[in-house]
Amino acid sequence: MKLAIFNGSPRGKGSNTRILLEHFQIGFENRGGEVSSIDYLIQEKYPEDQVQHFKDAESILLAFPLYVDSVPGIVKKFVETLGSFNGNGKKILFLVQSGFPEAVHSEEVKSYLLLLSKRLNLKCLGVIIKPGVEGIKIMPEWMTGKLFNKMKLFGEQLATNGKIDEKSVKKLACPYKFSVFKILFFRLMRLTGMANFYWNKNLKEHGAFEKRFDAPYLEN
Amino acid sequence: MIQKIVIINGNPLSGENNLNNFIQEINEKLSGKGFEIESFSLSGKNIKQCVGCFDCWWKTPGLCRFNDDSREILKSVINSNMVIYASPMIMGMYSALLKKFHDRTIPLVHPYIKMKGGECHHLKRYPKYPEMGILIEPNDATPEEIELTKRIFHRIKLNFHSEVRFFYSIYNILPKKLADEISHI
Repeated sequence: MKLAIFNGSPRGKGSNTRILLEHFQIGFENRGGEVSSIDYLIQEKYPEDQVQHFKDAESILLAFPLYVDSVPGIVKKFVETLGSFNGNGKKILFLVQSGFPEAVHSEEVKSYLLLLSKRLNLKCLGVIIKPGVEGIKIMPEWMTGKLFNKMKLFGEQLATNGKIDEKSVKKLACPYKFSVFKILFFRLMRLTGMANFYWNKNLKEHGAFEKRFDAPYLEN
Repeated sequence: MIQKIVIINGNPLSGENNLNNFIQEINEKLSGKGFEIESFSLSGKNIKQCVGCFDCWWKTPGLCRFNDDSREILKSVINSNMVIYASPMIMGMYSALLKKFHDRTIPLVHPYIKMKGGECHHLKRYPKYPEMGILIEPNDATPEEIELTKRIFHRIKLNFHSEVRFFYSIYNILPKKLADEISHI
């Protein structure tokens, strides 16, 4: 099976999306899959080439982060550049990762991707949703190992079966929403300051902690 | 009470067309009712794509690293009572031009998260946020795609501490009627 990969992250090669895709690719290639192209949509120098890769692909993987409750602008632009293309039933798989820790935020973008597949006459193999991805670069291996193994597994499944396991996809998109217990736990984390650890660490590193509540556009 | 309204036109086509004409007309009707109107046509603006650096959250809180036209627009938006987003439906959703602008609105909120309605959402950076109105030109969008677009704006409002006051196709309401409706909000 040949797969054209499209990375729609505005962070391009420095993205969390790339990290997830790399593990997917390892699993995919381990089982005999062939990656025909990898395009970063942030690099808009050659949009015609990217569109051509999409149109020529045997099967497609489009991955991106959730951005303001939807696809990133560069992904939408790419879709508009594709225009009224007939995919003739070729296979497409989507991967949406978000910083928010619950999958509920990605529900609408999932619906859009399903409608887009219909519009382009593509056979959608599924929408992999992974919440809580921001910060994986600084997480220790014991925190990310399970996720990376799951990505590899999805790659293996696609190369072997031409599809991915729906149950595993559903399991990865957890929690959909926080349970009452987790909400209480989160409140406790906020009280202790742990919930903001990642942001505070970066604010302090940039010497901006004291300015964190600045509202520069506020008119008197 | 609404006093200042910002209209953000995400139509990639400039000049005379149904959406731009509607915006011109609603602008005039609202001005005639005494509202302060600021209108921005994104097709004529220099707005760079967000690169996800988070400088606006942890380096220069509230300010994007790109000093382009988005700063002027964001300043107007956050100091208004209502923002009207207008866009043609392209490939089943609002335009990439409007989406690019939305991606640049994250400096308006805080990276910290709070629970709201049982979900994680961003904390306010500003004391108040404008209400939203949405105008679409449907083009070839299906009813499902239009309904989904409406749902997306109802998600956006949660993080932007806002309310969606209306969502109309420009073919389902007249500018005068919409101006009357807004004046009663």
